[in-house]
Amino acid sequence: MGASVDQPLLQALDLAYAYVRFPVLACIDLEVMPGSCSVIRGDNGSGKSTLLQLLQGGLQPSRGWVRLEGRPLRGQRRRVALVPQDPCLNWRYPIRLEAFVALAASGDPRSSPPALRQVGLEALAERPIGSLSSGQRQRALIARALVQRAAVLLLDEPFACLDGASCLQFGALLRSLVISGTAVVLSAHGELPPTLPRRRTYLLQQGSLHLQPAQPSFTPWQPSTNLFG
Amino acid sequence: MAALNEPFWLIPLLLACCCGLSCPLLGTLLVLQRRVLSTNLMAYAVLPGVVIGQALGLPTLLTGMASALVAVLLVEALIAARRDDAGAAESVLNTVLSASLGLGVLLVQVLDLPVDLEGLLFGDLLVADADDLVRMGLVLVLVLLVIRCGYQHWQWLGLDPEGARQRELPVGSLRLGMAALTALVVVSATAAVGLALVMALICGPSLAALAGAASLREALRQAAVIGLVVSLVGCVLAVGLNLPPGPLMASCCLPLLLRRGNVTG
Repeated sequence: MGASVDQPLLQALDLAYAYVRFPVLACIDLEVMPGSCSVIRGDNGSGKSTLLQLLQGGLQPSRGWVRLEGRPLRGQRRRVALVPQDPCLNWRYPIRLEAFVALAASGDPRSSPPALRQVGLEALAERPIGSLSSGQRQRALIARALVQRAAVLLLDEPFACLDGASCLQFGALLRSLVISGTAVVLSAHGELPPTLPRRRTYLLQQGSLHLQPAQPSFTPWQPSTNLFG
Repeated sequence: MAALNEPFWLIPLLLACCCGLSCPLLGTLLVLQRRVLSTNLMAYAVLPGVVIGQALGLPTLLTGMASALVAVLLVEALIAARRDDAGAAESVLNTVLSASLGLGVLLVQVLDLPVDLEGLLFGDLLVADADDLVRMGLVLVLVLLVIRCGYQHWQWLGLDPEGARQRELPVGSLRLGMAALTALVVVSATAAVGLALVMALICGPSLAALAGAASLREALRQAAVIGLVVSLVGCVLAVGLNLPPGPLMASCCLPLLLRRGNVTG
């Protein structure tokens, strides 16, 4: 059962978190709608990664709660996919890209070709994951999130290790995901590619989240099936 | 060589084969999950349990397993309590390892038990009996079943433990189950290679297999074949050269490290 258009898909209320005795986040309220893009900006160490982990359920908040379609995250965490900036993933594991992606769909081999096509990695399907570049690895993780049918995609600094052209392509991929109904939340502290969809921008500062004024313009975009082809 | 034709050698040979299959199969999962250090700890932490089992007339398989699991849980609790200390994990683990070995040796002295410490540490295939063989055979079947039934879970744990948590897989329970199976394999393999040498059979063939494998399935197959060959070669050499088979099997694992490729980091 999906969320209705005017109901938030992912909702955080009064969220707070502290590392031992050091408070990082306090009174965070956030609503993420289906088919929306939210950008969380903030300096290094402002708590962007912590917030994304809280939204995925990987960290337990010291106060407040996170809900998906009005229900607690527990039991449905796999519908919220988090792609960390530096994932603790064993990239030397003996597995080919297509099997790596299919693993998120309980090993169903039919699941990976469409997802790999969508992220432009279908030509590398037979390659071991260890041979992928950092940009390709990130797209592989996105493909994995796609096959697990994640309703919300959380991306921690996705443009940090991409060159200019890859940023544009990646932005376009996110735009196509948003158009197809996926909610995208990403953290960033640098320039964003113009191919990103219309978005809400928040500033995370001193543990609080502030909605920024809306962006002035929106460039029309016609997505293609293979953005990286 | 004629001795191999005698029934006397049949049980040791079959036991070595079962051991040569079980250890590398399990080892492949452990290497990929980066649990080799804790496996080494278990190999030594089994000793106090085995000694206590012998002293009280309890099944040493169970007491050895319990002892190894207690050591693993103790290490995890101590590491968690010192998570902010640099290098705490390795230091705690190695201290508990040495202490376990020391405790085992002390117990033998204090309880004045007729325990064959050399046999426990380095194995003695020649004194293995049918019970040892049946036990090792059952352990091999269990290892195969565990790998088959939890294949995807083991892949998640080796490849992306954080991703496994995100998918709400029972990571803690799976790791505890894997630790219990490891303890079982280590105790059962004592008769063949001993507690001190079992690590070579767990790690050597697995690393060699992982160097050339493109998938976990392929790595497991190769590790099993290599482990079987190492065990057979060790046994044959032991008979031919009149040397103890356990140390020979462990020594045969050394050249395997020369095989290089996509070695898992």
